Amino acid sequence: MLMAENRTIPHARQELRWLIQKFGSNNSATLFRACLERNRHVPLQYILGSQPFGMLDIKCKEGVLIPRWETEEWCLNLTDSIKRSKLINSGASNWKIMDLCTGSGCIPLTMINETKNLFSNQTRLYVDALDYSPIAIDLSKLNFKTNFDNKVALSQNFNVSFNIQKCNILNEPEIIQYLGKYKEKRKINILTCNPPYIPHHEFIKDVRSSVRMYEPKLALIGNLEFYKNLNDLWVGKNLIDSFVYEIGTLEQALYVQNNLPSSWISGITLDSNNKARCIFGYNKEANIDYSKIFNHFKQTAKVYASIANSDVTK
Amino acid sequence: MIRTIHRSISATAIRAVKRNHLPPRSKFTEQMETECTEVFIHGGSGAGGQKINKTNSKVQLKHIPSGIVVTSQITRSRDQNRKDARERMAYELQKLDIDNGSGEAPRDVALRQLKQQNKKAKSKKSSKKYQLHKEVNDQLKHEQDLQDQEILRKLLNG
Ligand SMILES: C[S@@+](CC[C@H](N)C(=O)[O-])C[C@H]1O[C@@H](n2cnc3c(N)ncnc32)[C@H](O)[C@@H]1O
Repeated sequence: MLMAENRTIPHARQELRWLIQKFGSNNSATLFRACLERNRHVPLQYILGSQPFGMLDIKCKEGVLIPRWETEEWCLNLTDSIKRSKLINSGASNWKIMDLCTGSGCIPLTMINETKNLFSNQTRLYVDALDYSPIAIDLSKLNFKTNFDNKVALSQNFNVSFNIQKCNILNEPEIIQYLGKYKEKRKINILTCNPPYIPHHEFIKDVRSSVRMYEPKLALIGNLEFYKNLNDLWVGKNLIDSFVYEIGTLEQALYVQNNLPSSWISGITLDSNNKARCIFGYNKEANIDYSKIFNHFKQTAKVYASIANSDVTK
Repeated sequence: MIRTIHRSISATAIRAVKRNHLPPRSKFTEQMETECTEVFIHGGSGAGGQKINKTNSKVQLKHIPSGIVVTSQITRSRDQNRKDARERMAYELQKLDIDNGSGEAPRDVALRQLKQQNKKAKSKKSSKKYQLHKEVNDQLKHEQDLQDQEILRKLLNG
């Protein structure tokens, strides 16, 4: 039954083990139903209710994208690079990280979890997460609660604040209004985003049935709109110092690179399956030396070769 | 049934380990990290990113100087599997290092001695159940496999 979603018998057996861990082997009716759902291509994480992401356990619900290993990989590379840069301990100014298209909240929650120890009395971390889907907003709130406030009481023990907001990112006036509410800390140090990036014509052709049938299209289908929004709004209106965006096609990354102002340094990184996975960039004229973060970020991932060269010649 | 017995054994063993101050489990050092290459087995060159939702993640660690390869895919967590692979590698490397002829890590030597001591104290039958840490795990896994197969068979027939 599990072979519908698993290519090999060991994989199927392993999944069965996880299902048994969750539902027990005594109540065979529940287990049977779970296997049946799996046979109908329901994602395992919707059946089990969660997906591990870094050190966190991220709850998953239908209607919200399940976090991918590629995202986990770059996100941990980024937090590792932030920690190694020593930029936070040295400067006394507050930090702000914003995650767009946050979905389950896996990215900002990992950013908090990995860097919370760096923030002390004098330095505060503000983390903002935006999404347009009400189900995603609810789930990211739940994930914040289960991973932090039910456990470590974040606001009491660390100098970190987290804020989730329903917002249409492609609606510029809405964003400007939202940002206008901030008095203390306006400039965003790092903007992260894993936008819907599967072009329409590839959706039927390339997307696995489990994804196509059960994960939300709002989270998957898109092409250049979010990358254009990055250039026009976030970089264009000087709202951010640096960014990391996940990409699905090289075209999306090149679009961003070709439209950045000359004071911006950028690069494309590969994931460990050798696919172009992220475009990052930072303003070299910013108050903080972001090369300390991104030079390391480049090393932890492999860099898309021809771009790396053009980066050096800039 | 068998499973719970094994659990209680390993729990006792752990307590014994603490009580007797055995050498600690081998540690994965920074140097080992630089001497290793890590490969994630993602199943080829097909779709990636948002297009596919993988449920397993296999980590393979190779120690270049010695050629030792370990893999881990026991949990759904990639992070956890990476840590597990490093623990195993550290264990293998320590075993390699020890020049006591038997290729045993100090922890294992101590565990074996502890086991022998317990043998004297206990009846022959129950002391046989004492196994080295690693063996217990292997056996547990094997039994789970058998159990899984049994359930799988039941499900397929019914
Ligand atoms: C690919 S998912 C990423 C989810 C999560 N960040 C992750 O990496 O697993 C994209 C997310 O963007 C959201 N989204 C799509 N269009 C949006 C828009 N115009 N404004 C805000 N969020 C949007 C979707 O609801 C979805 O949660």
